[in-house]
Amino acid sequence: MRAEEPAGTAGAEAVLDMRGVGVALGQGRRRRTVLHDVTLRIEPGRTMGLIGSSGSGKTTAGRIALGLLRPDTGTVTVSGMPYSRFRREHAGKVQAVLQSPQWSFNPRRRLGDSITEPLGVVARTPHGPGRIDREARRELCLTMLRQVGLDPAHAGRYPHELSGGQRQRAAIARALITGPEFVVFDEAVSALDVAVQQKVLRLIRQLQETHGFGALFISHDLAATRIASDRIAVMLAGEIVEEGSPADVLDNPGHPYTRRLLETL
Amino acid sequence: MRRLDLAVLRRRPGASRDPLMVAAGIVLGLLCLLALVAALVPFAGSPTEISGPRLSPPSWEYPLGTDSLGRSLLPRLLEGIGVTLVVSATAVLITAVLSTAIGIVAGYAGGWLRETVMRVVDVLYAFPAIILAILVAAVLGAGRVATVSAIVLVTVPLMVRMIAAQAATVAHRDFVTSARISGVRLPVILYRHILSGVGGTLAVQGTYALSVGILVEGGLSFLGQGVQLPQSSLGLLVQEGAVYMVAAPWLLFAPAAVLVASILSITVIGDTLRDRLEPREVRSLA
Repeated sequence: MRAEEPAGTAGAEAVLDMRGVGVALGQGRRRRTVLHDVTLRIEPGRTMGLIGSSGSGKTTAGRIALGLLRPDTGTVTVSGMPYSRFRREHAGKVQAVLQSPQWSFNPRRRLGDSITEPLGVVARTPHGPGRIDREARRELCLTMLRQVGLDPAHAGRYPHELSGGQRQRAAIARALITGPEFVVFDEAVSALDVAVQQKVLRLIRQLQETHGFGALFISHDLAATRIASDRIAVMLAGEIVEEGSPADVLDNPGHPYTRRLLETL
Repeated sequence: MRRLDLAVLRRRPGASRDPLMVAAGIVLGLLCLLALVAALVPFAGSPTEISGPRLSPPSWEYPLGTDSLGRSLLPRLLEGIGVTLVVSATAVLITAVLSTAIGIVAGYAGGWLRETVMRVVDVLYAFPAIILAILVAAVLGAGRVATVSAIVLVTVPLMVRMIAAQAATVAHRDFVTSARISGVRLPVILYRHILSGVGGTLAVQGTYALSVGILVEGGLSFLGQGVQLPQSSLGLLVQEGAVYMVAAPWLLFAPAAVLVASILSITVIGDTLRDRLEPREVRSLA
């Protein structure tokens, strides 16, 4: 894979640059094209909302953006760097908040250990700050917990002692502790009830202002996506059928599918 | 911060709600204790000394009677329990280490690696346990080593399969995906996240394997391929007892009862562990 594009042609370098990405999954006769010619560009400090119904390829797009899956065609760069065989080169720069509050943390580890886990990786990478001692880690962990609105005492607790909303906040703390440039939220608030959702969404916006990360917000929930995103892309059957500002896409949908998606809610 | 205190969230207090488990634990503990004490202090007499009349029924002097050579059965039985438990436990320990290593890697990797491991395991699993055990004994020559190897070979397939299945489940949980995204190295993920996730399965399968081990040891020794005389083991004693079943039924009854009691109590413990450590779960995408 090559990174032939000269970085930063249009102002700041994009945190995520996916071009013409296509991928097929499955073996033999069951092989299906899941994504077809998907192009996404996320500017630093901005959030791209990705909406679509189940099976539209949102999650696959997220997996490719995270480098968990290699595309068959097209290129993916994060802050100008393509994903190599070794994820450690991107360690700490890319993080994610995933769907399930139930399994977002290892049930047998204390939250503090889980939240600081990414630090251990960053410390040992070439671009990292070198060894981070125990006290510094603890300090960072407590700072992050406060920033996401949790009691620092939660660091010593086990996941099952927290509510779903608290666990997703803790997951955000873990994702942001390395100061990432790009964060993927994959249905990060979908399992939470509406009131908690609102709070977590506001928290994400607020943290984005202080930390300045670019984000991909994957959701099937239009209301949540509108709050979280600066731009919204609509996916249908593995293709992006519409992209624009939330107002354009949600209030004035151009594609018939977007209209249908809006009507169903 | 307020902490929830609902009956559902509270941990079950101790084992007090499982009288069966407690009973099983006591039986097993007592057997182990007896065997251990007898090995250290031969309070019941020597297991090899020919001290009394042949085939004497249980009496004050010989609590479980004497065998066909005039050896007291009680010390032989105590030695047998010890030998059987040590042989089985050693084998299960080896099985646990092997199966965990293979199962975790295969389960996490998935794909062709898991398929290959599973097919090999299926082939082993297809043989009846005792046939496989006899085969091993025939190749290695009868004795302790053969017995341990046989038990390992018989118990590994099921354990690998269960651990690989559990590891595959854990591998798709969000916290493992998060660790991968963060760039945590594979060996660390396996050790830190997958291993702790298969702990429950390991404990449950380990106890089952232990009961299978005791059974296989019994079967092999019964066939003369296991532990060799003059050492005794439960299987060996059952075999000897069976010869004099009509003339001296106590020779069969005592070791057989101990064999059944130990297997039963281990199985009960395994069942209870399974109910506690492997709760039904809700899965989600990774």
